[in-house]
Amino acid sequence: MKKTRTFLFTLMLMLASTAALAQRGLAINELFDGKYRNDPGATETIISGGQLSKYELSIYHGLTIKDNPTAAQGIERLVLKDAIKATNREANYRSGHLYYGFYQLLPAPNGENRYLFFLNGHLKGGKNVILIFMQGYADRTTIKRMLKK
Amino acid sequence: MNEQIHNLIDRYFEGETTLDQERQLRQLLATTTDDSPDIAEARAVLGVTKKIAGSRRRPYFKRFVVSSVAASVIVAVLIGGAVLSRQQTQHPVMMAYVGGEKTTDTDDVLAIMHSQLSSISTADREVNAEIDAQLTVMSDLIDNL
Repeated sequence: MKKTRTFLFTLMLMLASTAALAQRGLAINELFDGKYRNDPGATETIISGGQLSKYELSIYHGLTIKDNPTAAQGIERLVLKDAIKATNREANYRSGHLYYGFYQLLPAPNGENRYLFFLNGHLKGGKNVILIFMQGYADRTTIKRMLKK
Repeated sequence: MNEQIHNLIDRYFEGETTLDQERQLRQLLATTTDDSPDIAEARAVLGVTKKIAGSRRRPYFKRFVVSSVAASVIVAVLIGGAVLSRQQTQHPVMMAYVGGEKTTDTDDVLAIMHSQLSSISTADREVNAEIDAQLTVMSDLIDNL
């Protein structure tokens, strides 16, 4: 009985960890759960497969929010939370807040690289906050090259 | 066999059994299917566990069934997870929500993506230019030391 209980407990742990692996496990996920899809000042882009293969990417998720400095602060908080575990980072701060951030996050469970971009235009007279999440086998150099195009 | 076991039980409780008879009684108590009260009592007194073929095998069978079901569930979950993961990364999706309006037009969505990347690219260049400028200042200071 005790062995059966231990076995079932182990099974539950395995199931829980498998479920966790199925998720991206990032703080910014809450921004992409549809909360801004009906926002008149927001633009959310979701692309996967097909068109992204030429960039060696499998997922592109972008969010632009216009005229909403309050939202910018919330997004910054989530970005910084994910940035803690970043393996590479380029960040620029203005007035004590994150203005620009480029982070290479820990790889996805399937081994693909994950990147996060953040730009708070409000800190430099702009109106937009932009957050971009990318996933794929593209390395940092390829991503940087993609930006320069 | 039943008569023999009852006789041996009677003799045991009378204190008349030999060691060989007691050993024989233990074997009989362990294997008999008879659950009459005197046999149950004798089992309790002698500390004999009933060892019937079916009852002995049942826990193993039960464990085998539980292990098999659990193993099947694990395999199914892992395969399902792998398939789901592949679908998530391979199934093409192309959409955007602009001010509450959904669009799946490839050109529109790609244009938005390029616009977002362009803004990031501009910021990236600005930041790198600032870093270069700061490094130039530092370099000049070091050169003037």
